[in-house]
Amino acid sequence: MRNAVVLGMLSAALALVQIALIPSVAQAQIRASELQTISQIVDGTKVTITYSRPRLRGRDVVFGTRAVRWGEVWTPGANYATTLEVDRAITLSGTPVPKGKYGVWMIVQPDSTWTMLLDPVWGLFHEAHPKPADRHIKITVRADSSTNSSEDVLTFSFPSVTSRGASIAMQWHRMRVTMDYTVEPTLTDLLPEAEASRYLGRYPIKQANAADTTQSTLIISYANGGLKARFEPEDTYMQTFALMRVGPDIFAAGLYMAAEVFAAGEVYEVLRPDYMFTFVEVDGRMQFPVRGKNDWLYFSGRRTSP
Amino acid sequence: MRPSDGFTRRSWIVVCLGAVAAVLPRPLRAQLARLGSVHPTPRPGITGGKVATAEMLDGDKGLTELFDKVRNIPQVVDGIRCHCGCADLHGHYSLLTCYEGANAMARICPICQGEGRVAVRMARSGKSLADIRIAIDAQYG
Repeated sequence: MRNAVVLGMLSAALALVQIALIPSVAQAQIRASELQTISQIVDGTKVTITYSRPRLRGRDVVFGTRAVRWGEVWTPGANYATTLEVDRAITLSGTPVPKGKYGVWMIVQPDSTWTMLLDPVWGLFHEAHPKPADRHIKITVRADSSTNSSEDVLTFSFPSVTSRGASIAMQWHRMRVTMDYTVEPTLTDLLPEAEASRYLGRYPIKQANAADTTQSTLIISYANGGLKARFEPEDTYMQTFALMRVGPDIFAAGLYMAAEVFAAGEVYEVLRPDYMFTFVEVDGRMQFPVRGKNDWLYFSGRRTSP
Repeated sequence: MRPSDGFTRRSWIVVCLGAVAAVLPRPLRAQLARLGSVHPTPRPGITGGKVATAEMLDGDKGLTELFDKVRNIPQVVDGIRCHCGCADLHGHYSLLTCYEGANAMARICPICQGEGRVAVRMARSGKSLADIRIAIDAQYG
């Protein structure tokens, strides 16, 4: 009886091991449309596309043929429907897309305006061709069949990235479908003037390293809805930068592309935790230390005039 | 005797639950940690007894000084969540964990070191744990 129990448990354990091995064995085979996963992170928001990649395999035309018919609800991929996963909400071609994983379908048209359907029910086989339904998020995307370059393998990419979002492109043969998305910013360079006014003024700089005799002044002003700072004489790396509030009286430096500073341009890099200002009022005068990632003091400033 | 006579449904369930339990706990715990309070509650009676010593730090003077200072404020450092990503690791409780043992993560991680230095500096100037948490979240969060 006891032996039978042990034998049974061993059999069960062996069965579990076999079950665990099945996926790796199943993946180890040649497929006409191999799997790819591609991701892009912007400001902490990760967009991931997973799809099987069909090849032309000698076909001269794909769209508008038996392979992909006009008017068909088609998944841009093979095998199971392509998925798009976002770990935070994004706005895709002007349409809000909540955090989640979606099956990707496109209504294929001979003209340049296609409709993409994002289906919360992902994992359908490519032959499912779901009819547009209320559960779908419908997004208008641009299709261009006249591109010069040709892709033998259906390819998703993120051809452009900014600090606020990116673009997604799908190309197969000469058909290229593109869409832009923006992410929810984690920080802003905007600050109401009433809250910003207490920080404005000229701050002569005292270097933490006594051997550093550099003389400079930090000038903090209010422009384009937020705090802007610049060194005098000019610091060619920092130029005019944003002070972005990250805590009570705590600010991180946000760098602008030079030409965009006074054109409501975007911050392209936030120096956090590398360049942090902590303001404090002492004896009626505002002052700050600037510390780095390792909490080392770089320099401090004390206001001489508002 | 057929195997099923000895290997009961209960035995099968026990084996299956055991297999599942062996796989799930670590990510589950990490997930629960993310869902819960951002900063851990300092454990009553916590000490800095496990913080790495100069010997463990191969005599590195800078690190030894930092680790010694952290060892003196365990009740503060144990109330801080580390933002370097190590908080999701198995067995990790607080920033204090980053400083414990011969393989302490703070030996090599500038984020663990920076957060420790902020905690030491602010605790020395009389700031509360709440103030220190705000400063660390603002800079590293």
